[in-house]
Amino acid sequence: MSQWRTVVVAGVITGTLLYAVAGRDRQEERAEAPKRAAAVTPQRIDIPSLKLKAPLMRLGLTKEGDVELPPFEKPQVAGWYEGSAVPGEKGASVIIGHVDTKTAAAVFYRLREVRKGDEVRISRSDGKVARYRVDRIEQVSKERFPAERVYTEDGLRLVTCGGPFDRRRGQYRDNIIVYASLVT
Amino acid sequence: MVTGSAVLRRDVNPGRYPVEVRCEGTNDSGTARLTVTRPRPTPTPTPTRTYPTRAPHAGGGGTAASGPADEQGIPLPLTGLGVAALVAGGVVFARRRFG
Repeated sequence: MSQWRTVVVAGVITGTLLYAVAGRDRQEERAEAPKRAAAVTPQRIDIPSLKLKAPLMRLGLTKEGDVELPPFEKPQVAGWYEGSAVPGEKGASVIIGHVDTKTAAAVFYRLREVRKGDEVRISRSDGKVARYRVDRIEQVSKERFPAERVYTEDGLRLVTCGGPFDRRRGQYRDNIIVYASLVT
Repeated sequence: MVTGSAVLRRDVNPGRYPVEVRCEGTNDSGTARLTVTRPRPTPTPTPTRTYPTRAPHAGGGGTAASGPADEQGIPLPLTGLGVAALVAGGVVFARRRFG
């Protein structure tokens, strides 16, 4: 019996020591974090009022200078435009998601139901969570897409499609844009 | 005769510029005058940051009939009621037939 007790005590001591060492490593990581701010990426979006939780991917630019879109094969993934600010930092952070695919609803299907004051949370790769409050929601023709407002002004912008679907051109006529301001 | 060439800066101001030519090894020299008549081109403003200008096409249209385009789909509560009514009807039918 006393042998077992010795083993348990030894285990507890070893565990405590390991935890202390690992804990110090974690603290060092935190201290280094600001240096690597450029490498931080947003990883998840959470809109509690819509019960929407989705992973985020990085979106670059096409050769034509348009933002890439998440692939239709991953309809439940939204994308962060990597040329925009990391959510939680100063500047415009742009997140784009499909409203639907050719056959089914997609990640931002219910985005148009979001209301002023709703919370949007963005989880980042450094463990921080950027919290935003929705200021307003806009439905605007793609021909009058407010690029400057979306890509240059401070805050989070969630973009998807909406309005009537133009079957001839194979696309929705409008964009739905949600504007949100950083809370923390 | 002396020939030579010179390159002007693109943003040179209009005006008259004296040109002096001196041959090394001799005391031969000459003067000329260059007149720039065209106004300086207005510098095009270079944007501090470029950003995409076109609207993203974030949808395939699969839900267009009842989706974001219009509200013609049957509201969810009504769909639920319809399903409930069908189930209840089925149960009554089964009881009468097999009960």
